[in-house]
Amino acid sequence: MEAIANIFTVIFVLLGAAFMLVGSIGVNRFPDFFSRAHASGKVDTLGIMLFIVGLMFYNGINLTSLKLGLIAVFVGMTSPVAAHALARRALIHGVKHWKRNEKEG
Amino acid sequence: MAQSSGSEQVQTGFFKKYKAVILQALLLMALWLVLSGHFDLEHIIYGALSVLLVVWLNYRISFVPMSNGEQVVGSNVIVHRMILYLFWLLWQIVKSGTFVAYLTLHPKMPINPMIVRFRSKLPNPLAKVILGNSITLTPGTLTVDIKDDFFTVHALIKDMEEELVSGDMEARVGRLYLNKCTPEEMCTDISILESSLEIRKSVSRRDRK
Repeated sequence: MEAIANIFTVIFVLLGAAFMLVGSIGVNRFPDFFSRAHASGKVDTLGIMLFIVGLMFYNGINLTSLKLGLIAVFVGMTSPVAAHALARRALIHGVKHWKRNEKEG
Repeated sequence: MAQSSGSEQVQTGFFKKYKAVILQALLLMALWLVLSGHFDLEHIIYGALSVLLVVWLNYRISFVPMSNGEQVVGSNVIVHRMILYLFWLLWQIVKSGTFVAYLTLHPKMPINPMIVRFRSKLPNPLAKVILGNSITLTPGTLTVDIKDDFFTVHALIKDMEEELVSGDMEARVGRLYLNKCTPEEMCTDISILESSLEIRKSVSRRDRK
C-alpha cells in the first residue's frame, strides 16, 4: 500500500514540477504581456495543484492532507483572479496585444 | 434535474429562507475543524462562536450596495449543480493547463491572440464573478474586464474564441442560478476588437487617474 502511494507521489510531484517549469518557459517564450499572463495563470495553477495532490498522496489520509487540499482550492481560486487583475491593469494603461502578422504566416 | 427543481419549490419556510446562511455556517465549521485539528468540546464551542460572528457579519454585507448601486445577491445558488460544476471546472483546469503547456513547447508556437467582447445576461454579480473566473481557467482564454453585462476576453487562438462564444459555459454558469437557460440567450453581441481605441473604450475607467 505504501509503495503504491509512493509511486503516485512521485508521478504527481514530477508532473507538477514539469508543469511549473513549462509555465516559466512560457512566461519567457510568449510574445506579449497577455499571453504571458495565460502561461503564468493556467499552467502554474495546474502545476501547483498537481504538486499538492502528490504531497497529499505522500501524507495519506489525515488532517494534514485536508489542509493541503485547502491550499489547492485557494490556489485555484486566487490564481485566475491575479492573472485577471494584471491583464486588466495592462489593458487600462494601453499595453497593446500582440497579433500574428499575416505575412509571417 | 426536473424532479429536483420541483422539490425546491416545495421547500418553503425556515430552511429555504436561511439556506445560504446554514450552508455557510456548515462550511465555516468544517473549515474550523480541519484547521484546528482539535475535536474536544472547548475548541468546538470557540469555533461555533467564531462561525456565528462571521455569519452575522456576512449576513449584513449582503445588504450593502456595491459601487454601481447593485445589491449583492447571490445566495440562491442551486447546490447540487454547483458541486457538479466544480468537478467540471477541475477537468477544465487540467485541459487548459495541458493545452497552454502544449502551445508553449510547440516550436512554432501556433498562437493568434485576439480580444473578444460579448454580452452575457447573468442574473447577479456573483454569477459574473464565477463566469469570469471560469473563463480564465478554461483553455486559451483570459477574462480581462467585466463591465456591466459585457465581458472582455483575451483568447490565445481562434478555435478557443469560437468555443467561448458558443455560450456553452455561460449557460452552465447560468444554470447554477436559473432553472432554464439556453446558450443562445446567454451570449450575445459578440465582437472582435481590432483597434486599440475600441479596446481602451471597452474597459471600465472609473478608477483611472
